[in-house]
Amino acid sequence: MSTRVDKGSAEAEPLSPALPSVNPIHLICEYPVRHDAPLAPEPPRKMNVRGARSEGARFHLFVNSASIDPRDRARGCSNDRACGSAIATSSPRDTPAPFPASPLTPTPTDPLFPRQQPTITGLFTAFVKVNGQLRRWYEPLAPPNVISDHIPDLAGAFHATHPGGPRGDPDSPIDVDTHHALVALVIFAVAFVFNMNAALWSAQNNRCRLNLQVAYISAVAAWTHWEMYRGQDWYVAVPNAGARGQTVSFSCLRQLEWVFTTPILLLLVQNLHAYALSSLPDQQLIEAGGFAAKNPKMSSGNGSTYTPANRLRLVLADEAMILAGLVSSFFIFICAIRLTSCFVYSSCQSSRLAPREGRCC
Amino acid sequence: MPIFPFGAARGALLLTAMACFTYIVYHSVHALIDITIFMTLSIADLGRLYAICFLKTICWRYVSFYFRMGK
Repeated sequence: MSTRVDKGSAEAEPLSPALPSVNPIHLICEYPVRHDAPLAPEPPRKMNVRGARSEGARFHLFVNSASIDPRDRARGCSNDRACGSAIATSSPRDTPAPFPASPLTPTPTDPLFPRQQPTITGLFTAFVKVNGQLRRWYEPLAPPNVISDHIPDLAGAFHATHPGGPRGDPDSPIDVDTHHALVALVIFAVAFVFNMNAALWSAQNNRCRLNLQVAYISAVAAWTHWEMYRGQDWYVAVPNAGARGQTVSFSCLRQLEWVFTTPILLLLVQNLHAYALSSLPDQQLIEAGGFAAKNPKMSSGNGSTYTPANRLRLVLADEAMILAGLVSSFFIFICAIRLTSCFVYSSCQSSRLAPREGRCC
Repeated sequence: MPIFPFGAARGALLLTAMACFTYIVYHSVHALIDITIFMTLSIADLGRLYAICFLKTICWRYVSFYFRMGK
């Protein structure tokens, strides 16, 4: 039976067509890996009159394989488009299989791939709709003059940020300045264009997914800063909610941005980890994948000590952190300072310890 | 219902959020370190990886700007 194995959880699940509709998170976060991934034979198609299909298939395969990285070509089938074209356009008997399918390489016949781009588009649309709907719901409940044009200051009083003029109050410590929002908008828009371009031109399915995920994050961030530039950032202010009766406020647009992007960002790191280790040589891949499939606690092989996280648990932990942090406020600031310093220190240490010899960089 | 609770409820929320934060940061940092040590990426992917590390590092400081409390 065909199985789909998440490298992180190493749990085999039956591959059913209903799975993506049951858990939409899998459409984004799963890095589908088939350890028993034979190249699925397609039923033979009709030949056209002139037999141009097989010639076109060979030419297409030649063109695609010419653009494969030599390491990918040595792995046989990591260029999914090339392999996909070979599978789709030639009969199983004609398909040469000089190398076995890599256990960590997603197959081109994976049903999740064609659905990812609409799902990412749907997530972006959901972000825009949810933001607009929550804003409309909150407007009647908000204290007067809070929405859009006014933000609460540190003393709890509300004042106009742009009374008939440019948006953004340079004196306000919590408002996003117009120019900052514009610069951030340009940066994220450029990042979106770059990643979409890379996704469209990528010859590998795996890289295409990574680029699409980064493009999604960039698009959400660009939209957020576009809203801020237009003065549409809206704050939820709760008077007398502080320990000493202060007004507590937060940017709900920013919170929504985090809710929609940080899970994908976390999964992107996991996918990047899977992608980086999937470029190991074939023998190491097979050993690592085979052993990891039988031993859930096993690391990714080749000396790696990291066991990838369960992705659904990671997403839930992220959302719980945002919600709990939103409710109980300030703890993130303290943790961020400490963990950022730890992160910088560990990154410097790992860069210093990284073995460079024999690596193809 | 108060949005910002105090006392035991606030402590429980803090502990929950800190546990989740530690969990996700542990996995992110560990995965990135693992990639840095064992990767076989090209120079372009290496640059992207360090860009992600850099952005993930500096972006956390923006958290402080959106959790402000009045006097």
